[in-house]
Amino acid sequence: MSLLAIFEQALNGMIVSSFYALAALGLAIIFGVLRVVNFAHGEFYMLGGYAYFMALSALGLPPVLGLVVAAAALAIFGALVEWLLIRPVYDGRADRPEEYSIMITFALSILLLNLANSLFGPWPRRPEPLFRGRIEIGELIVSGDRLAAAGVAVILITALLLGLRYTWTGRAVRAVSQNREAAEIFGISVTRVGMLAFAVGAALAGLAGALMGPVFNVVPPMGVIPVIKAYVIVVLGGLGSIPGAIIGAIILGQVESFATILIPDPSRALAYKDAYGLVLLIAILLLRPQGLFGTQDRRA
Amino acid sequence: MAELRVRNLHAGYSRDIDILRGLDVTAREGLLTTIIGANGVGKSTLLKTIIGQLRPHTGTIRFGETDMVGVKTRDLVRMGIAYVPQKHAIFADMSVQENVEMASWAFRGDRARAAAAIETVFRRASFLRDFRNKRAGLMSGGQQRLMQLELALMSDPELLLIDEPTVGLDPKRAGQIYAHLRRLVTEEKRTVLMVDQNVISGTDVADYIYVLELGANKLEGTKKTFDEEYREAISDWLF
Repeated sequence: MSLLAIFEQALNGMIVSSFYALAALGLAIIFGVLRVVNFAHGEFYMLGGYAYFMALSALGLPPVLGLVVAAAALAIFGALVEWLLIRPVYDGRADRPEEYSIMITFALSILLLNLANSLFGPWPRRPEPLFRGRIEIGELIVSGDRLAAAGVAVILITALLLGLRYTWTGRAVRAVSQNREAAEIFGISVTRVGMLAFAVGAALAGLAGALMGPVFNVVPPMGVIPVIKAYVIVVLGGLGSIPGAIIGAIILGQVESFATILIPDPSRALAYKDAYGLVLLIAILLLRPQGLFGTQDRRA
Repeated sequence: MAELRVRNLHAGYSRDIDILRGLDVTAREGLLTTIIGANGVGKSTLLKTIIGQLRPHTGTIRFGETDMVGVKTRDLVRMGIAYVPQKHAIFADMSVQENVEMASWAFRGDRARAAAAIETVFRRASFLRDFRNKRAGLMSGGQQRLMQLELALMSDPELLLIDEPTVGLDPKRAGQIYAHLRRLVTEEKRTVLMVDQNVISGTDVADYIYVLELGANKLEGTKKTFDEEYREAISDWLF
């Protein structure tokens, strides 16, 4: 394998990782704060793709504003879902909160997928990307739409991490995910933080979908495979752990990227691509069941 | 006048089962009141009901003139009440500095007050300075307990509700905590309501003592009465 090929795969891996990280962080924040595994995350991703597509085609907005529309639409949608469907997990309305949260998000996932099929139709749509053309880095040639989308993803992730670390709201999110009771004792409204976490999580999924839409088409089932990867990543990194989600995304991106070129027959290699993450997941769970950054006592 | 009065309290974890069955407890102003009783008698249930984690089935809870039934846990700090749970109420993955800052959440808008409260914590508990930028979870159990107590005091509460302050600590640390609680009452004129399993030290430090049995009052009295009359009466079932 030439050095150039190694660089190429590493860069491809990093690009893919940044999208994975965006989707996985949303899942991690929702789980961290609410202790709910959002099985509808892939459909939030899909809705983000459609929101971006509609903003560009129906409203005629430029791609950057399309991203803003997708983020805002999904944040509002996420807040509504939390208020209407997730809150019973916490206010005592659900008799068996854990089973309830699994069933309700799973049902929502199926509902949204089928609703999208009848509303938007099963045809693939291709919205305009952020940037067209190719970018040459020395001998490396990368397609511009991917690189631009990855750049935006990295900026968004950085902004999110800074916000979590340095703003009062971000700290409240971390506080509630570390110790719900303590946060409440100090006067933090865990209900409000829960709603915010769900809105932010949904917006991150929507942004990931909006960034990937132009690269891989917008179709109703577009979220199914990416969300499986997001689950792999958050379990790999430790459920609810923010650094775990980022490291997990980087690992998965590189493993998929390099494992693909290790198999000589390219068509077969690509067919196996989605399996590597699952193999990796099984290996990590056997060696370290709590995930890389998880603590043993963390339970759903 | 800030006395906590619990009258005829019935409460529990499910709607049809009462753990507390007609409990009467008063935390008199400026005194340290200890509630003792065997495991499973409803001591923690009582505190959880007072702070609004559980809703009473019947009965009244009043703090001064305020009706506390239906109060949310997050509003306590603004009412002048601090609660120190039995489980460590700290953010283990945040630095000690961040923990202290989070404890000023309720009054973070008043920057001068928040800054002063933060300064006070590091002055009163000087060992925290060594951990300022380290993860709070790295401290020992006793240090975490002391920090938790200091964090609870940051809002300058009139009433402190404490659930088993020395559980899992060695006798030396436990002694320090009890001495600390005593000072909060005598020097800082706060009211303390403590639930404890440590019968000897827990009652030694108290001004007024309640003994519970199966979710109801069994005995109560001042420390003096307790020492003279009750200690023997309860020794056979507490040990």
